[in-house]
Amino acid sequence: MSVIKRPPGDQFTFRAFVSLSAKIQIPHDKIYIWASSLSLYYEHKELNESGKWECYTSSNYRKQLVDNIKSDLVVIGLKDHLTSINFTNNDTVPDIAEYLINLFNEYSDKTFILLTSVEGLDAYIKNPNVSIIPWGGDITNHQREYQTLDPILDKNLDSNYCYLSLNRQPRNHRAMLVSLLYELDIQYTGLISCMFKESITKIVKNIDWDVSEYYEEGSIKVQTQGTNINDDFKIYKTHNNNPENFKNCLAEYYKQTFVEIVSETSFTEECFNLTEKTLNSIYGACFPILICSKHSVKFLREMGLDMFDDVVDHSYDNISDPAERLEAAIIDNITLLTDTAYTKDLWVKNKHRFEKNIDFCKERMYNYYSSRSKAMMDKIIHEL
Amino acid sequence: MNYNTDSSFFTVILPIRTPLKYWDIYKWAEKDTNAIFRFIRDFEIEEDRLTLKDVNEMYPGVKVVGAVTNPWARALWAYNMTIDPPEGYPGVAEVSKHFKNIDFSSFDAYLNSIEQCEMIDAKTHPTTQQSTWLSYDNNQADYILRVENLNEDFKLLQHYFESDISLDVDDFVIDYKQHYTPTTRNIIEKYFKEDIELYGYEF
Repeated sequence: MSVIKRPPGDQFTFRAFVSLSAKIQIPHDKIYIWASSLSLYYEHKELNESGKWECYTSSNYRKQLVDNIKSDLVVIGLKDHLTSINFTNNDTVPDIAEYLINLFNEYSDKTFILLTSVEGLDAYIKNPNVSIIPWGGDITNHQREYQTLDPILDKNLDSNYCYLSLNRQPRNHRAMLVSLLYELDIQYTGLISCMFKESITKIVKNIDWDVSEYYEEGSIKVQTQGTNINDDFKIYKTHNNNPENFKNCLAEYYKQTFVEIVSETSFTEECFNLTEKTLNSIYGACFPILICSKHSVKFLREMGLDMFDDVVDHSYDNISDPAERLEAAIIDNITLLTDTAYTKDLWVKNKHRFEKNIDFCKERMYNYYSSRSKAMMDKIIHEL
Repeated sequence: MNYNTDSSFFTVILPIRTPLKYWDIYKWAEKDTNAIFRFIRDFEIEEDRLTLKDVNEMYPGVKVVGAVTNPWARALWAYNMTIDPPEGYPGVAEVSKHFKNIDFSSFDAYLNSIEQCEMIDAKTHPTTQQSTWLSYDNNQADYILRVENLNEDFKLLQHYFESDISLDVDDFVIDYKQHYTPTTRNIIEKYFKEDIELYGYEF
């Protein structure tokens, strides 16, 4: 049994890990690990006992993971997404998922129960010795703090902006999204951040999506015109504290905007990790346009959230091709993103529905994830 | 039983007014190459001073390390901490907001007042026993460290993890006897009967 590495704010999933694995009555290994630490690009520095910096990479964590596989039955709690920032649609499998597939093949004589933050991981991990239980994405992080967070239901109705688009970590789909907004010339009705704008053209040039060159032109406009949100990349003082970031920084942006183009972590891959980005949008009371993997809107809708289907055209959610999905998400909702009077009017008329979604996220969302993972674990135990 | 033959996780519960910090235990666990992977730190346990019952519901099967203090010594320590609080600790004004009829004018007055004092919005009363945190029904915390005998009691955990790293925290010492009168001594004895019996304390 081992807790190899935990990210901040993971109480909900960590407790789920302990209580779900406690149901298993036969001998087994329990391993909990932050998936990011398994990424080849991971590097973490810590001061050691002698006051010297020690560098930990994925090799250290991969070794610890393997060293803890001893019993015939192994329960792995894997927190966070399985896609490093270099994943594009040319890769068939997210890199950390690929590592796991190989690991499960190597230990084909053992049975694994994989608890994961990712929905739809069975699209990639099909090893017969593995059962997968999704236990809720990073949207469940900082549960307690979010449950007491003040939502943004008092908006500035004199605002000149329609939408918000927050882009911090340089991921391909975010670079493409911001380029598209500028190329369509709709940047003026949005509050946009792009914390990698200096390198956006380089990123866009290297993306292998089948699209016209106009994204590149858009990326050049981003660089020359700049963005109207220019926060420091270091948004966290000590560790990833998303509720504090919401209160201290994002709340102001949500007050000015009525739609959010949510730049989630997953996009090109078939599996997805819903994160605080989606939750912030709900607490920020914005109509959601979800830049995430195919069927992520469907998932949220089925979980119980109002996705404002009568306001937002979510047809993009059914499109497999990433470039087509991105373009549809923006172009099919162009009025909502550009007509401030129209969008504000809709927001006022639908305010009560935002309140219901916020209420859902305070309790029922966690219950949904808990009940589902318990039921799946019971079924797996029954079949062991 | 040791970490090789038993695969339990561990966490820490400290009753309120314990002269030991959670970090004192976790700091040790961070230094030990085996314990570091087994200790669960959950800040809600600390912020809300959760009890063994709460923690067992939250983390079924997890082993709990708790700490207890001689009730007479603890009362004096708690009083001193309130009238002369270190930075970040609540002082008389802050604590008094949460209780009606509490008197910090002297240690004697404080002990006499705890019988009558009422909670306004506090979660625990000054007479709440430490066993409230560390036991319920027939369940007890798995490792109970007496802070006066901390390093000796902690050896059980060191043996479990086959660790030669010391806890690096001094045993708790406070010269409490001279501060008590027969009356105040009896007040503690009356209200902390279970702690005294369960954890083998005497004046």
